[in-house]
Amino acid sequence: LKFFSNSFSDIGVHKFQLQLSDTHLSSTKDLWVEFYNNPPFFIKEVPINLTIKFNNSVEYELPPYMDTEKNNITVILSGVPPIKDFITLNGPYKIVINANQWNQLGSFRVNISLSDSQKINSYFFNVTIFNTAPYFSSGMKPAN
Amino acid sequence: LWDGSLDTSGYTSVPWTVTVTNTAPFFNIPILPNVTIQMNFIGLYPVSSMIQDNEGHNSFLTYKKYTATGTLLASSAPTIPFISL
Repeated sequence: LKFFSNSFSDIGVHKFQLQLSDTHLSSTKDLWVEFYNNPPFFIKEVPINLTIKFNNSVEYELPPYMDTEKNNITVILSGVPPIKDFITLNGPYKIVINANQWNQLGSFRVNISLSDSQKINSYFFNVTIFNTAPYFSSGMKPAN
Repeated sequence: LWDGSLDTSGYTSVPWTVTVTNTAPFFNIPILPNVTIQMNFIGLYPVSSMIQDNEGHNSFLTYKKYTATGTLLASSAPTIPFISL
C-alpha cells in the first residue's frame, strides 16, 4: 500500500478496512493510519533581547527557518500597540524596529510566529528602546 | 465366505463423501501495525509479507475507509484520498 497526501484536510487519524479475497472467500482487518504535519520552525535560536536606541531605525535579519513538509511559511509579527507601530516586517526575512514616539520607550515582549497555515510555532523576544538625556558635549567655558 | 470364483452377478455401491474445503486468505498477524505518514512524503506499507492463503490461491486486496466511529466513507480506490495499491 502507498500513502501520500499534500492536503491539510487529510491530517488526522483514519480508519481503513482491508479485505483479502481469493474471489470466493474473504477476510478483513482494520488498519489505522495517522497522517501528520509539523509546524515550521527557526533553525537557529531567536535572540532573546534586542536593545535599540530611541530615534534609531534598525533592520534585523531573522534567523533561518524551515518547514519539514516544505509547506509555504508565513511569518507573523504580533503585539499590542505601541509594538505594532514601531516593529514591522520587511519582507519574509527581516524586521525593522524604528521607535520615535515617547510611548515607545521601555521594554516590550514581541511575538513572532511561523505558520504553514495548519500549524504554528510561536517565539517571543524582548525589545528594549532606550533614550539618554541630553548632555554637554564639552566642558563649560567662561562667557565673554 | 468367498470360494474364489468371479462373482459377476451384481455389485454393491458404497456411499463415499468427498468434502473439498477452501479457506479465505488472511493476514497472518493478529493486529496490523499502525501507519504514520508525514504530509508531502510517500509512505509505503508492505502488506504482501503479511498475506497468507493456505490453498495457494492469489489474494486480492481491496480496502474501505471508515470514520473513527465506524461509518463507511468510501469503498473504492479512486474515491479514497491518499491511499493506493
